[in-house]
Amino acid sequence: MQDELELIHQMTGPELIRLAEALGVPLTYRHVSRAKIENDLVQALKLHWQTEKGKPVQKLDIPALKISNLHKEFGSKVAVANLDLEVHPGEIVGLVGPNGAGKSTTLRVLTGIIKPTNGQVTVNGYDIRKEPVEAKRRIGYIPERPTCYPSLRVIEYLTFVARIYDVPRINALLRIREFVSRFQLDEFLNSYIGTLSKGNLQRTLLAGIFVREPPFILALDEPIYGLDPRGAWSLKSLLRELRDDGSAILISTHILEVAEALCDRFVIMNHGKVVGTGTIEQLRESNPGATSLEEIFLMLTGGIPEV
Amino acid sequence: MHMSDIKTPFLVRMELRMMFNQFIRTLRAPSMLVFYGITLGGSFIVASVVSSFLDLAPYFSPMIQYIEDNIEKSAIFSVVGLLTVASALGGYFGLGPSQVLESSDEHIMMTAPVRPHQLFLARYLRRIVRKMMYIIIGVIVISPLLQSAHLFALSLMITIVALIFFLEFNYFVGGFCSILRTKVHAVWKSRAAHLILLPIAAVLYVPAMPEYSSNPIFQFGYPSNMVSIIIMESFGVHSIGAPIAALLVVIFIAFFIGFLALTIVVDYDIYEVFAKGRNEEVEATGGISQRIRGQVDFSKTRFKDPMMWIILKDFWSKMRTPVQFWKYVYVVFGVAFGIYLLLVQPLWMTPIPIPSEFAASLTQAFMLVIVLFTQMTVLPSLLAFVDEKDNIYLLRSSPFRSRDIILAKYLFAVVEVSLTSLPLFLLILYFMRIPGAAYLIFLAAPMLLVFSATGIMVGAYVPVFTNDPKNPPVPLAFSFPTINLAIGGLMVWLILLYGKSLEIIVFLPLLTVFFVILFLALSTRAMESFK
Ligand SMILES: Nc1ncnc2c1ncn2[C@@H]1O[C@H](COP(=O)(O)OP(=O)(O)O)[C@@H](O)[C@H]1O
Ligand SMILES: [Mg+2]
Repeated sequence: MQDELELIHQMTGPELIRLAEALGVPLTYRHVSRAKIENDLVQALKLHWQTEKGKPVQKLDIPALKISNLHKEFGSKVAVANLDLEVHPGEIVGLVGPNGAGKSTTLRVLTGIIKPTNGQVTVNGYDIRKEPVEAKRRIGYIPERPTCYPSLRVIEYLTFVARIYDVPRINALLRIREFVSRFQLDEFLNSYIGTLSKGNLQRTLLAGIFVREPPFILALDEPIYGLDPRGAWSLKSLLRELRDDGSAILISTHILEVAEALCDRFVIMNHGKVVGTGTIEQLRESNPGATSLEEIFLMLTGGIPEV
Repeated sequence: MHMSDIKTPFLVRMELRMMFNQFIRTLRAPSMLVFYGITLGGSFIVASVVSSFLDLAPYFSPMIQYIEDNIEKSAIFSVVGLLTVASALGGYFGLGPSQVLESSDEHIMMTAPVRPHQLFLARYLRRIVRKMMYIIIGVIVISPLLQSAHLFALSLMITIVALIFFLEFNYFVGGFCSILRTKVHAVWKSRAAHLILLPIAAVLYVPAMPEYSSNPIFQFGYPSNMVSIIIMESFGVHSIGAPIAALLVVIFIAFFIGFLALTIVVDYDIYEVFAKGRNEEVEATGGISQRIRGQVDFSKTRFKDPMMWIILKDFWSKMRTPVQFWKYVYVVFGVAFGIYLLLVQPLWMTPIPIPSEFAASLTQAFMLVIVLFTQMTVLPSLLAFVDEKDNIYLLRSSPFRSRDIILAKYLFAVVEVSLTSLPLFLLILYFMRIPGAAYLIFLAAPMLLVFSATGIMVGAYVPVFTNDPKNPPVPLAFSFPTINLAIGGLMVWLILLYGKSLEIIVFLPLLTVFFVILFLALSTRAMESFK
């Protein structure tokens, strides 16, 4: 409840009015202190949550993400060969590999953008080819090169996403406020997305994912890449929080420091094939002589270069 | 299921919202407003001026007579019917419904719990609303010309609207073929699968064939025939007094059925087609740049001038695209054919006979045709910078003077445009035999020089207005033909006034040089003030 008070406190005037509308709190008096409105809203929210209490908490299927025998060819070029991969709720898995290893292709298949040549992908228990709408409900994807609709305003985009993913209005208002504050998007709320810098675009897309309700199945393609140190730090801490709350997260990256600090488990790819998997300890064991993820990575993907 | 169905109206609303925002953004940006003002106001003025010295009405009755005498009704049906067949082929080999998708959809809408047909429907509606607005604006802008031709009437409006619905109907036919292709290829992998096109083309063409188009069921039931009738009725060609308003309603119904049917069959395959199309784009440029690196060694070139390097780079990178190759083939054969026509004057292809009483007024029309055709051929000059895409920033930051870059682009564009326009002008020269006016074809030369400079200028201004240099903003792109038509109109007007006196020999080149230098100077300024 303290959190909600805090969120309501951060809201702009229009946001308060929208929330009041959604909660059915009348705003008929002419002069009223902001504190009074905030207080009324918190009371109304309390009531609202009580009626919502009966609802079961959403949980992900186990495994949340299952890729079996995935094979993807572009013409004669094999981009991914016989890949098996599982991500469980409460886990961050790092998909690491050199450029062209097939990481992005894997993510594009599992998010349903392109079809696999062979193999099966299930997301939250739904086959991505057979029940795409159900499968996609939980997926949050950030592409390698983020873009967005340039003539939408940031706030319009966020409400748009909330609608597309069926987030109830009250929750949407609260969550939008939460992530706008978290990603410092306040001053850009009314900017057109086409005018945002790369980092702010990335934050907007991230906020667009998180205004949906948890738990998430995240497929993030080099998500740290465009962010400044502060943005990177807050994303990392957010991902850890989400993991602890039961989301399943798959991150593709070739920045090994990030991977090592963030991921519980690794899948190392090279030329479309998996060349190593496991926790850092397991990888050390199977690759004697290597100490860091960097050394393991270099050994598995062509040997450590002689200086 | 039911949840996702509620989303369709919401998606439509969002698309319209985006369009509205775009509009508002334009209104708020003074530079855009200026360009819109120049474009629309300029076009309107040009149309008024042209219609003031050129009375179009007298041409129509002889032209219509000529058409009625020489072209049979059934031939018109067949030609218009070919449009539908062509759309089917285009759709089959092209992008089909995936055309409505944009790159941001890939990670936003394609990964969202939204069905492809919902996305298609919302996007398509946005497109059609936008098209309608463009057409309304277009009709208003050229209304003086329509008025002068006594065409500004209800029947013309009906014709335009019918034409739009007909073209959209064709678009749906193409969309169907695109979907059909993915379905057929899923089960039948060999190239022989393309044979499926033959029966489709046949079925689409039969109702428009001379043997069948006289059948009233086909005539009043098949969109291409109906639109032919509407066009013929409103221009009074082979008129039989058919009820065009009723035909319009039927065409609309055909359009609507096509729309619904396509929306129903659109499925996840359009995502696949979209992803493939995007990759081909990337691959094409990737392959080209690799081959250039492999073959052209800039360090060995004899030229010391940076301008020549840019020209060489452009030449080689263009030559590597298949389109360019075919363009040069076209130039060679086109010129050969044109010369053949002029020398041999074959009987099977005679020039359009022009009654001598129209010769004087047709001279003006002839010059306008030259203006229009020159404008059509100078498009590559606009693309000189646009085709650089983001590389424009590399070019900008390279150790070349802006002046050299602009000049290189300009010279290359002029050479290319001159070559590709040759066949066209030879044909005009052959077909439009206006006694004593043939020399006017040389008017194309100064226009070509000036119009290419305009293209370079507009292209150079794109990165000033946007940070996405491969997508020129609409008003900017539109200002290109407008500026040119205005200058072309000015030149025609000068010829009409001073054509008989010798001063024009001094006047016209001076004017040409003035505009070229002005536009190139502005281009240089643009390059130095990139966003
Ligand atoms: N659409 C495509 N068409 C052809 N080849 C592709 C396509 N997408 C990816 N590839 C190729 O597949 C391989 C894997 O690419 P990608 O998944 O992007 O690698 P990563 O993300 O690990 O750098 C690369 O060799 C790339 O060139
Ligand atoms: Mg990648």
